[in-house]
Amino acid sequence: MIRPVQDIPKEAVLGETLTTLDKLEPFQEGVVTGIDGEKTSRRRLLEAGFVIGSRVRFLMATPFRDPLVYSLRGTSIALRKNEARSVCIRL
Amino acid sequence: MKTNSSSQGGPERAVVLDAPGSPPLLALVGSANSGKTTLFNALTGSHYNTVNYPGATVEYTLGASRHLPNFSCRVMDTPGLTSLVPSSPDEKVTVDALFKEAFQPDVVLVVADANQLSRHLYLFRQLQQLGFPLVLVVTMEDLLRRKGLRVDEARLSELLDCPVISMDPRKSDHLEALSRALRSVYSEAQDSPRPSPSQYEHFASHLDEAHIATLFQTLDQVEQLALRPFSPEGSKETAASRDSRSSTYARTAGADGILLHPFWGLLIFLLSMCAIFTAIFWMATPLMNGIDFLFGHMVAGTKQLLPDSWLTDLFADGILGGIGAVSVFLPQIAILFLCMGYLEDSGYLARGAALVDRPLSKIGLNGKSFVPLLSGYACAIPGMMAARTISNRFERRLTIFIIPLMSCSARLPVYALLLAFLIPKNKPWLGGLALTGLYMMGIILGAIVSTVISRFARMKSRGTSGFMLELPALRRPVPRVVVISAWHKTAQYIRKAGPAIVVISLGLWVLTHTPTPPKSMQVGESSEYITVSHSYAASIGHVIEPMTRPLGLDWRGGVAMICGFAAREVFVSSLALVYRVQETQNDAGLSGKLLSRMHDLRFEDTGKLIFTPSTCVGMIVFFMIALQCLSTVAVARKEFGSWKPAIIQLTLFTGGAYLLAVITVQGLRALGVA
Repeated sequence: MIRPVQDIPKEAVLGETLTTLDKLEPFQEGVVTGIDGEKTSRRRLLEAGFVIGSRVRFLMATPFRDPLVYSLRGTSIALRKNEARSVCIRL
Repeated sequence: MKTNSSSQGGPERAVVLDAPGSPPLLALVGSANSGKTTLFNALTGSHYNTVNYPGATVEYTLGASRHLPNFSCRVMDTPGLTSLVPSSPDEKVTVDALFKEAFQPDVVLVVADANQLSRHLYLFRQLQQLGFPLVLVVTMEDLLRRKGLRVDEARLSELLDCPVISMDPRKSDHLEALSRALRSVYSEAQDSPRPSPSQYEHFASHLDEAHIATLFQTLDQVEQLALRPFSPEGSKETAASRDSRSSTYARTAGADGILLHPFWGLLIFLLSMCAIFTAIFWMATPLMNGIDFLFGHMVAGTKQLLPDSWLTDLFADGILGGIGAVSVFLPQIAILFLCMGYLEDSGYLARGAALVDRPLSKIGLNGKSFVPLLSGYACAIPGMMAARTISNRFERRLTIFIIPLMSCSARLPVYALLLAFLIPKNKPWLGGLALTGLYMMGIILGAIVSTVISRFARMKSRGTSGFMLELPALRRPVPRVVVISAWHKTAQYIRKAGPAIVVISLGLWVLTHTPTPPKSMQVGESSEYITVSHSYAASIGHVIEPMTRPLGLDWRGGVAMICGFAAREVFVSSLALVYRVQETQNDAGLSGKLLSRMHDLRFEDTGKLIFTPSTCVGMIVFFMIALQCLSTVAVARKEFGSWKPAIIQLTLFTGGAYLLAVITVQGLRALGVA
């Protein structure tokens, strides 16, 4: 089920919605299409397993709404919102 | 601090490390939550030591493979690692260990969680590409089976071209199979050269983003091929088992739904912090009193047994007293490590760090500063060492910088004395409230300093801040593991802080006991008092009296303050010494008598009372801020990597404390408080 959120840039590429990780709703899933941002943080994300093609599910936000918790490759990972924003996904 | 500690350790450690023809070295490498340390405990039977690599400033945990049948080797545990390209000083320790010639392992044992094979095999593949002789241990398959999957060991071994053993380190099973695999890999690899640092340089510089993506693609395939459906009754994969797999997701998410809930999550966090602090105070107090009592009697007993000479005094007061000063905080530190180990093993500590990341990032820190700051409430030294896990250099150094403001346990006796003086006996609750306030002030002051520094720091020096932390599966902690790890951390603290505190307390003994006063003086007065009042310390006290006067203290108070630099709580016993509070038979407790004496102490020249409410409040302010602990300065220098920030820290906190204390005292007096 895709539930479009207000501020998602609704670019339809081959019928798929492109967005970033921080825009997911709880328990919504996406597939990584690429990572933006500065080199060190990009590498850290890649080495944690956020490579192209990985399925990521948003689990929940922490009490102060940041960091956000994702399920990836069999584990849960907390990630700051601005890092999550740099991970591009398709729904 | 010593950097070469192989001489510092006992004979056992020297043998383990340096003996020629010593048994092969096995390195345990893996991610932070892979069960690596549990396996290390299973292999070594929890008998291990932290050793320094000669000439380096990092520690490795080394033990003998007592519980591994038929393969005698040295086992090295390493800090958790995600990639061979390290992103924090903690990770760099591991990578350095793998390529240091004298410490290079003969076999590397990679530990991977079955539930996240692709992530954990990433490091395995890197090590394999460099040509390390490898054995893979897969852990936590029980959790995987609950999700309806199992690891096909033979298939995985074939795919990775390396022996694979799936085991539960907490049950110590499959050690025979592990031993067989290690033996065969070791004998095969014995003559082949180990990867050199230059090979590593080459590897690290060629590890680009495309390479990482390709590695993960391969590992995704490996994971797919090596995981088989599993159902307990041997039936085929059914819709039900797939359902149970997704329900496990839901369960973990369910627990986190409460632990990270905007209201309940915060409540649980605050309650667990309160529980830790309560445990530190109330559970440790009787133990601390016991240790205090024990050392007090040992010092007195030594003086009675040995002939009355300066050497006896040096041994009793300088050495035994110094050891006592270190030991008295052990209960608090051990209890803190126990509580934190329990939270860590259960998986909660990572959630706590994630929870406070946002507030801490507002003041220029990081969620990963949480554990170091919390440790700082017991003692700044383990706190500073715990900061190594923070990958951003600026945030790590800022964390180390403000840790001394956290109210460590050494301040407690000082606060206790001064608050007892200030607060009327019929209102004990006020004391508890004031103490809580003082503890809160620690984090508030820390936040202020941290905010100011991070506001003024140039953006360039701050680097990119990030927070990425795995939240491991929640599970029931194994008490044995928690106790053993707390024991080893406490022992590490003793080795770190112990020698410095004893040396400094020896130095202070010399300052307060030399030169020997003329014999003619020793009539009527207590000889102890005569010695101190003619010592170098007294001369220093007289010299700095113009500085202590604005605080409302005479030269004797100054001497006690100088002594406080060995360890803050020494202030209390020095105060008793310089103001001639005698320990007599009818014991109302030294601090009780000191307290009653404080009420009628007067300046030698003006005859005014010394200890007034304003002076006591001023001293509380001073002790709250001042970096009055030379051992901390030594460790700070080591963790900063240079003297400059450590000296700045010392000057800023001690100078600032003095100024604020003077302002407080003079301000209160101007307002009419005595």
